[in-house]
Amino acid sequence: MSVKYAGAWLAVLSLAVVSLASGCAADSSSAVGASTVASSPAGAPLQTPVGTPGAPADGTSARALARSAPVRLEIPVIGVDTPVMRLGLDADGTVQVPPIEANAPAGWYQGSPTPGQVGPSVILAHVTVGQFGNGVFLHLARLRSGDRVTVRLQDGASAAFTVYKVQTVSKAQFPTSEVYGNVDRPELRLITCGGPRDSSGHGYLDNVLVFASLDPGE
Amino acid sequence: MRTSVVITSVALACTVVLGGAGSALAASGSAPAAATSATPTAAPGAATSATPTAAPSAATSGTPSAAPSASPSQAGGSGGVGGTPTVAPSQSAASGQVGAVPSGAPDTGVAPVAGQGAGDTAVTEAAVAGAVLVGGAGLLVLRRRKTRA
Repeated sequence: MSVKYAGAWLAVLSLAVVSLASGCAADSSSAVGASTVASSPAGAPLQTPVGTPGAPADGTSARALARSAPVRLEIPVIGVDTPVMRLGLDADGTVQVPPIEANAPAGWYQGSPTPGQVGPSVILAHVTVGQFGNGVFLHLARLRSGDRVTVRLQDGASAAFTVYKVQTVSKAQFPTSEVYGNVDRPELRLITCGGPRDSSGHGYLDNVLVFASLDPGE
Repeated sequence: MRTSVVITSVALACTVVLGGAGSALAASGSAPAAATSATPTAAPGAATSATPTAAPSAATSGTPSAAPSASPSQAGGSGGVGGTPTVAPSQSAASGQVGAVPSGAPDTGVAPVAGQGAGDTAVTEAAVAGAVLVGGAGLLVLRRRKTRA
């Protein structure tokens, strides 16, 4: 082997290492990427119109399911398959979130309709869980319109939803009415954190919101 | 002699490459699927407050499902810390489909700490730097030997 070839070998190896490292690092950072969309201010009065802006109007209405608590959430396209726990409200009126621990599950806000009932059913999960690493919704921002989400219910039924909108919004402008407001059919909201870290470095400035509607024929 | 120097340099570079790649791949491979089967327990640390709400009983579907019984964490963004009871919203509490509309935005993410995911990245970066250094040193040595020859 000549000196010339040895140099080339080393250069190639160095480049390979750099590209490998950058590729792996980009995965976690891109999880909470996407454009930030400003929406209605937090605390705005909850409107109760039926119909959802941006929702597909295919003329086919999905049949609502009986009330039954969700027990499992599956989003194959981003590798999510997790139990679902129940979440309530804290005394300060904020919604509870799943525990900060390894393998923390998703949580269904039990003040919302169960998945498959008419109305916005709300499920939350962490994007990252501090020292425990990645959260179950690490890649939620990667969802796109048309992706499928399945929720298994306690009574044995399952509710299949199709994503119709994904947006990242500033927490300071959380679209309360859009997320929790009335709709005229069964819908699902998936919520996690995203965007840049806040000033403390412990949390995030944005929320990633996924809007989905129950598939016809369910 | 020249050949041995080259082989040594390449071997060192490969060692550093494998070390860095291993940690990087381990970090990226531990993503969300990890949460598929574990049954969470109590929330630790900062999330000391929440009283557990009712957990779902056994799933009756065909899909194996661990019925989670974890205590939810209190949303930290509003600054609330510990000791406050959970309010179980009632479906009939309001006329909306969502009985009690939560205030504010949920805090569903605690940024990774340096000891875990970020640590893997640091190890990878160190490995990259090491590989570049080894490569550069090897080139220097080879060029000098070539010049002498």
